[in-house]
Amino acid sequence: MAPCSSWSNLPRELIDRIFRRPMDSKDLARCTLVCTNWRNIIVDIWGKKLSLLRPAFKNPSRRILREYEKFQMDPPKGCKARLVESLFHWGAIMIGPQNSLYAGGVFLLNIHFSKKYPFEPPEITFQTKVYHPNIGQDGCLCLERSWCAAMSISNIIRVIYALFSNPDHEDPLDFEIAHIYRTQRIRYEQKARTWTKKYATARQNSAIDWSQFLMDHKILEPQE
Amino acid sequence: MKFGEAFTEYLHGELDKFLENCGHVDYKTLKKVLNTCRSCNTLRHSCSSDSSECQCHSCPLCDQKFFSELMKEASQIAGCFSSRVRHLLHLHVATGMQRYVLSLRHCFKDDQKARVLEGWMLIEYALMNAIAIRKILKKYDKIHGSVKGRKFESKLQAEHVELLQSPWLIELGAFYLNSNGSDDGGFKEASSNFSCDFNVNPPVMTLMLPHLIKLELDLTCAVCLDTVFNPYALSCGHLFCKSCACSSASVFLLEGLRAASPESKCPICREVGVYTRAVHMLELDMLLKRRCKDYWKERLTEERADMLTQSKLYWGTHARNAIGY
Repeated sequence: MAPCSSWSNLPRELIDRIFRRPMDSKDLARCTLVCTNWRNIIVDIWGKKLSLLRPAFKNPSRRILREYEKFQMDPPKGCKARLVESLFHWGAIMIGPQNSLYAGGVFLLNIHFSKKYPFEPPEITFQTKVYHPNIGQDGCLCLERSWCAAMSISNIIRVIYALFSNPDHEDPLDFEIAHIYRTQRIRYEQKARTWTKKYATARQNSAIDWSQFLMDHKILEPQE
Repeated sequence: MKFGEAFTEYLHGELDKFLENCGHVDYKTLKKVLNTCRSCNTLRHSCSSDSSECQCHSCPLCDQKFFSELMKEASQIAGCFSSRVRHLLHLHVATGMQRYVLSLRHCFKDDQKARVLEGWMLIEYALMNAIAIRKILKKYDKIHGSVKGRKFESKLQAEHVELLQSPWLIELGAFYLNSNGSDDGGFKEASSNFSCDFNVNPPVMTLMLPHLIKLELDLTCAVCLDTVFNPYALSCGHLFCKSCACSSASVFLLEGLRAASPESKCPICREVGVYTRAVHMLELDMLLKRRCKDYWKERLTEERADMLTQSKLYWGTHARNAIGY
């Protein structure tokens, strides 16, 4: 049999074959008791799926509530958030930062918290179409790498604002846009402005009524 | 009075007998090294009168002697400070047989006042040396027209030898406030320099240190965004509730932080391997227990329920795996 250290390099199917059948979490948990090497290999390969090897997380609703209160008291400039269905689902609105390609644009976001928050990042998606190398075509943001439990939604919003002004083309989500950003900057800028004018308008469909916020930011005219 | 004179006066002070075995910043020698740095002096004189143009970034003499010496002294001071504070507080929060022996001793000799005095001496020791390090680094930057001193200050923080950011300083503050709260009396004067407000958001401990230095230390856990409960300081100096630290290290509460893997990162600074040498902040916990009784009880009930749930899961899993069912 191959030495333990090289096991982690083997494909999952092969390990299943070695053990003669697909393994469920109970079998895996039993294998972890054999020795430290086995435990490390199993945690490496199946760790995320194997709830038996991890303690249950506390209910995050208290932390989310704290964060929501903090957000309402001191929101990032040009941004507002409201609860949609529950504490675990927020809706947010952002005004594109001045002196950027997205200036004056109105961007709607959906924020979903998992039961493992804050040890897992929230799922943030743009409802508004955005032409940006760090935002996926489906509007999703990748936070896995930069996330840590001490971060908050306010931090993330500030990071998004920073990305609007200075895209990170070294670590993109949309490689095509990143390539255009690197090679044809003028074309990228034109397209970003066009998309902002076309999609990031004040008259977007939303589950939340943002009209008051938009009036405060002089984007919507007060209705007579 | 110049700081150099104040520091010398402090070193020759009569109360220094408490800290005779502790190292200090060799302020005079380091200052001499800077003043006799010939290569820099010649460069300074050859530069035009406009000091902003003088850019002597590398100086082998200083870089060899100065920074290595300062790092050695800083780590020695930090080590001495933490071990002395640990010893001092260990006497205060002793349990079991040790507590019984101490209470017997207390009948014959009241050493609580001596402990409070030693605590104050330790605070002054940390403060004076921290100021000395900052001053000397500022002088280095001024002489060399560089930012190496500022970078070195960041390095000190990264190496966890920055005294004014030490969790032991919070423990000392809590010790003072606890001493003031106890019935021994006579410490009102000393602890008037310390205050703690758990009702504000965020909760802070304010330390009014000598030389009009005011330190505000945040007592919020960055994971649950609540006041820290059963607080632990990781070896990087960041404070968390025990349950939050265990959750972020993916270990069970009953296993404790020692069971955390060396790859586990601090939720704030993302430093690796900071859980195994985590310190239980007993004085701060005692302070919280006294000042916020309702909150403390509520959190204790929560943690016990958590512990019960996790224990069932942990032992249930192990039993099933051992039996093979």
